[in-house]
Amino acid sequence: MIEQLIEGFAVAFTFANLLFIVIGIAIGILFGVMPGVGGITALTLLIPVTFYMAPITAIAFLIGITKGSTSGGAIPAILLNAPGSSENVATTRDGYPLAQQGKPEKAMRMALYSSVWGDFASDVVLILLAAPFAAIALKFGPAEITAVGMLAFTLIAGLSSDTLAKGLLASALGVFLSTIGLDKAEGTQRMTFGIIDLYDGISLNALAIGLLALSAVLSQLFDSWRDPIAANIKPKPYNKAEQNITWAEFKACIPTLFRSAYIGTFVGMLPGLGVTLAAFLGYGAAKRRSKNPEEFGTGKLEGIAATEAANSAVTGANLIPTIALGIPGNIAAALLIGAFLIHGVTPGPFMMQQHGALIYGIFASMLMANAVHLVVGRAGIPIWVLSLRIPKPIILSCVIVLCVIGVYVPSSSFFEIGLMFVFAVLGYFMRKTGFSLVCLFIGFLLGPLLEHSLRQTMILYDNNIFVLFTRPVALPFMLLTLFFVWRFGFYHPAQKRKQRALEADKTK
Amino acid sequence: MNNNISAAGSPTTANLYSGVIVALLGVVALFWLIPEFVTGANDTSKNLTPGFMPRVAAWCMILFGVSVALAAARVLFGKEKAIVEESEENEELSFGRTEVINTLVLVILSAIYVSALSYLGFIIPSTILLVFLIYLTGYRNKYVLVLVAISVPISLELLLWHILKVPLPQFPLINF
Repeated sequence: MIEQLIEGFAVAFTFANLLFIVIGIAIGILFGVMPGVGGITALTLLIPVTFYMAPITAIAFLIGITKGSTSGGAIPAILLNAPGSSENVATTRDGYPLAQQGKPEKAMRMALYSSVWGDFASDVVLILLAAPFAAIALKFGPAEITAVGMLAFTLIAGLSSDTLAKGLLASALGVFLSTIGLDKAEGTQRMTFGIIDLYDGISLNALAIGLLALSAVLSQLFDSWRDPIAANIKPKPYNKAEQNITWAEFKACIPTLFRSAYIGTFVGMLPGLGVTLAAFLGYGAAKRRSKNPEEFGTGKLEGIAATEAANSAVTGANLIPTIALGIPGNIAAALLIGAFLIHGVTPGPFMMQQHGALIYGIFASMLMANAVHLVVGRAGIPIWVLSLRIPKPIILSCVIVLCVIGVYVPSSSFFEIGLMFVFAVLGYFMRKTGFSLVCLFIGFLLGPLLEHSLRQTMILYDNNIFVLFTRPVALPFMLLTLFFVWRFGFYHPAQKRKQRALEADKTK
Repeated sequence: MNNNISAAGSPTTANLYSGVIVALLGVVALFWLIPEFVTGANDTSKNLTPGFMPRVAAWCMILFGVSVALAAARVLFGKEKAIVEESEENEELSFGRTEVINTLVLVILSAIYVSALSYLGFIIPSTILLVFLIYLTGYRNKYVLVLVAISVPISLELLLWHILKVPLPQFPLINF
């Protein structure tokens, strides 16, 4: 493994690669800084740009964006009490009070160091576990892949939505949309209605940009339309003195950093648990273990370290199921799968075998990106703070134009621009009604994999779907699926209703 | 993260409508779209036709759509207490009159913009769109507004065409 990693460094340590890592991290931080825009928007918008790059540079660039956006989101959380995205919500609890005490840069530095540490720890776990996991996954046949796919759908639907049925409904719609286009097995047309743009299926680009980026920006724009004052909050100027973190202060945070990195990595390894959950778990664990838990929420550095290390540690670990099974852990990993596919690499058990050099090159790039993140993030703090002064209406409106370009450039198709707006409308509806965008997107992305393995299973085992319960490796996954259906579909709702009834009784 | 229960525009009402709509979409797919528009879907000589997976997905849409709608109906008829729902995107959960108007505005504006792109090229519709959006969302500095609205589309066009050699939709009479 060490040898392969050294070879990976040899492949990855080029000027172009380093340059795009720097650019990726800077863009990630910038997009992360802008509340309501965020890293997912940056990722969806810039995937088309990577068409013109070598695969390793493209993935390194996108990973740079993911890493940068997580720490970038902490900046508005600290300065404005307005987190860049939901994963930084917990950072406001101690970041904003510390900024109010006149130490915003201290809080931002702690957030950055913790974020880089979380990323690094998670990347190390990824490098250690990806190959053994992929080796196990290689033993999986179509029945096992189908069972794993069903487990992933249930887990993601259960954890991303408050009701399992809503999550599964969004996933089913995503799978249905993925069947449009030419049938991969027979080459016949499926629901293309004679439209040439649909022969290759619904464009991943149009769907991702419309559903994830454009709908988010439009939702923010509508909010600004209704409440223009809220869109123009700016950070207060602050005194540059007393912004350094002393060794004693940092040392006190070390146990928290380790604990949160471990929590974030574990959460990241399981599909669907999400970055926000990791941040809150990290914060909760730090508070429970603290000798002075009452100080949390008043501007404690440990609170910032706990959330930022945990949310950043999800990034690398999320790639373990992505690389080993082809199943993304969250939306960022799902977008990376899209980028892998665009560059002719199919994520899954065979990825390590077929593209070993590329994968280790990506691992090396991830480690390099952590060092770059530290330098770019630290040196750029004044710039990131300055970018918060650009009025939100200007940023959001310009992002819409960038969305149009992001779809048009690779396809030169007005149809795809129209399709992007259709998905933006769908995304806006789903955002406002609590349907999971993650489920629909992952359903769309995993649909072909599930179809392929399900069809193979049906052919191999004479249409006997119950083989999923008789194959020894598939059985545990199916039992887990049934367990999660019971837990998220019946047990959790019943518990929530009981809790609601108790609260209602108390208020009477 | 609003989590109201059964008022108009609440997640529960939206769940009822969306569950019914998606279930109906599943029925339409199953009985019309797949038999008519999936080549070979009705071939009885084959074990697994190209219509297999679309049918599986359509059945799932019906099943989960009905179950979401039924759960919402039980809450609306007072047979069950609603579950407090929170947005994974940190948004206010509500789909009432405001959101319907927003959606209509979005549909109309996007239709006009996409048509304008094909007739007038990238720069003119994008400039108008930027002026409109920036002004509507509360920014009132006219000079900056006009400067941004003109410079962003022009610089993007120049960047993409002259540096990356990627053409954007062109106005028939103006070519940079």
